[in-house]
Amino acid sequence: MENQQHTGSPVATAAKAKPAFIDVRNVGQVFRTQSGGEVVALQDVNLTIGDGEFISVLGPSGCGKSTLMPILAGLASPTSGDVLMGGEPITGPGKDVGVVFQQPALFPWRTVLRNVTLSAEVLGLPKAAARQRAQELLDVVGLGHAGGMYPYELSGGMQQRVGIARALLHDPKLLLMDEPFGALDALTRENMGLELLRIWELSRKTVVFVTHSVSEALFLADRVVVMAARPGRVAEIHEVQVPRPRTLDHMSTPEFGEAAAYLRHLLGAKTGD
Amino acid sequence: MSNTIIATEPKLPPAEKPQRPTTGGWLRKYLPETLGIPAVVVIIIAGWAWAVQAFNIRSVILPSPLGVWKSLLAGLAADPASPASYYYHAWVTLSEILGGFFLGSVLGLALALVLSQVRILERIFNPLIVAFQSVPKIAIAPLFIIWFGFGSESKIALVTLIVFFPVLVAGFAGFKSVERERRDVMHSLGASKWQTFTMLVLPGSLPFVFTGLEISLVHAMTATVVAEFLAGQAGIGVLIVQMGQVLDTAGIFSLMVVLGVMGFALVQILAFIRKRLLFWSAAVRGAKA
Ligand SMILES: Nc1ncnc2c1ncn2[C@@H]1O[C@H](COP(=O)(O)OP(=O)(O)OP(=O)(O)O)[C@@H](O)[C@H]1O
Ligand SMILES: [Mg+2]
Repeated sequence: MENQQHTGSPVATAAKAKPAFIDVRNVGQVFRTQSGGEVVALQDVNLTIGDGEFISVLGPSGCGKSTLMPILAGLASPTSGDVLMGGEPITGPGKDVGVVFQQPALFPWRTVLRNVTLSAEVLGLPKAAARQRAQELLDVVGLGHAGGMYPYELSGGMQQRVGIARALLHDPKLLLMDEPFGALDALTRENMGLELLRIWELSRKTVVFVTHSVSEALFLADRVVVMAARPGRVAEIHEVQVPRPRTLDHMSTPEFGEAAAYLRHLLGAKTGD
Repeated sequence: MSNTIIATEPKLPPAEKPQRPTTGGWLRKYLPETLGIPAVVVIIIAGWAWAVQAFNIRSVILPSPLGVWKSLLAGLAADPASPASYYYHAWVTLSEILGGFFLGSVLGLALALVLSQVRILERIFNPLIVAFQSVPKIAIAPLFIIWFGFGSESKIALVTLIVFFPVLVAGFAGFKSVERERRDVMHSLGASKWQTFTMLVLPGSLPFVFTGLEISLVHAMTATVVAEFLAGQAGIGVLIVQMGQVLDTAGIFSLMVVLGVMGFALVQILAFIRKRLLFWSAAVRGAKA
């Protein structure tokens, strides 16, 4: 269990002393384009994610970040390689995964509360308990008052928080977030990051968080997976040294600045090819 | 339409600083509705009455408003059970409209559902539907009278056909309109096809479906009356033809009033249901304010 990193992977970092939860092994994804060409969206991706670990995925546009997410969610199967969750291959979508998208993708005809209880309805969980848990989650994301409102009555940031509550309702072990704060302004974004860390510290889910923002990736994650494009691949896995619990003050420390500069250098070097 | 567009956005400022909470304020706000509409109607009727008098128009050509009013009262005063009563004919026409509208909508939505689910059928039928859609279906009315007889059946069949296509096209567009990320939400939870349909596809398609229903309701009313013109034993269209033969112009006008009230009521009922059901849809929210 100690060292799950695969030999042959150029990015073997010292694995944390956490049991491996997600194991991405030699995953490749090739897309056929309409014109008959081929795009290598992912090539030989290896990644081991510990139970309860917070992983950020950082990389230039088109490097395959969004391609990786549905594979982890069991929504798509890779062209090659496989993904194990808790030692078992992922064969399809399951109730162990919660997904947050860049757009909140709420159901506009449902109240906020009923948006959050959606997964309970789909999975056939007891109604009363689901409602109670939904209310608790709404309290956690600061929307305890908004349960009876409709999505169009909320701001973009509020909608995104509803999306997070919805993804957490069925208590998934793995939370996948693809640029969830991408559509938000800088201030809201920072607050949402803090909020997310608070939720994560309470629930200790395993989180895979895709972002374009270097500082966001560093601020949130235990480890930052830096990807490169054409072909989409893992360039480096950076272990974040910033202690927890983290506050916004951590972002102005010299260590943080150094790490950010290093990651930016990696991105700059890898995108230029 | 135009005043709704203006009224949607700048809603907040007046709500913030209370604008004279007097009846005068309310009256001013709804001036176009409370005074404007009745005023225009009165002016039109008065102008009409004046023109009939001033130019000495024969009542066969254009009856006076009073003559129309008398015809209307006579038609409505007759025993509702007797075939001379407007109620009886209006009821026949209404039931034909509603029967055809219901049948056509159900069939249209059912086929839309099947086509949206089965890829092969979609590819076979879509070109055919596009081809059929542009055929003026009203032209088949005489054939339907041969097939289904002089009674209500032929009218209901025609209305069904006419309602079918717009609802089919709108329903199909609606069922196909689901946003990919919302579908992924259901998919990632392992939702069944049925769950995805009832929880996501169906509610999401309603704005499209209602647009189709609203378009075809107007077509349904026109088609019913036209089919009644051709042949029939009862219905407003039949009555209009009979009155035309005896040059009862005032009677025809009074039936236009009946049809107008009926059409207005049907459209309003549908609009009301739409508002209740689709309060969340941007199009409705824009029109409500
Ligand atoms: N369905 C598809 N068919 C063909 N090519 C695809 C498809 N989906 C993704 N690709 C290609 O795969 C590559 C990776 O796409 P992906 O969406 O994963 O990038 P990304 O890292 O999420 O980018 P961004 O940061 O802009 O969201 C891109 O080159 C894209 O063109
Ligand atoms: Mg992406």
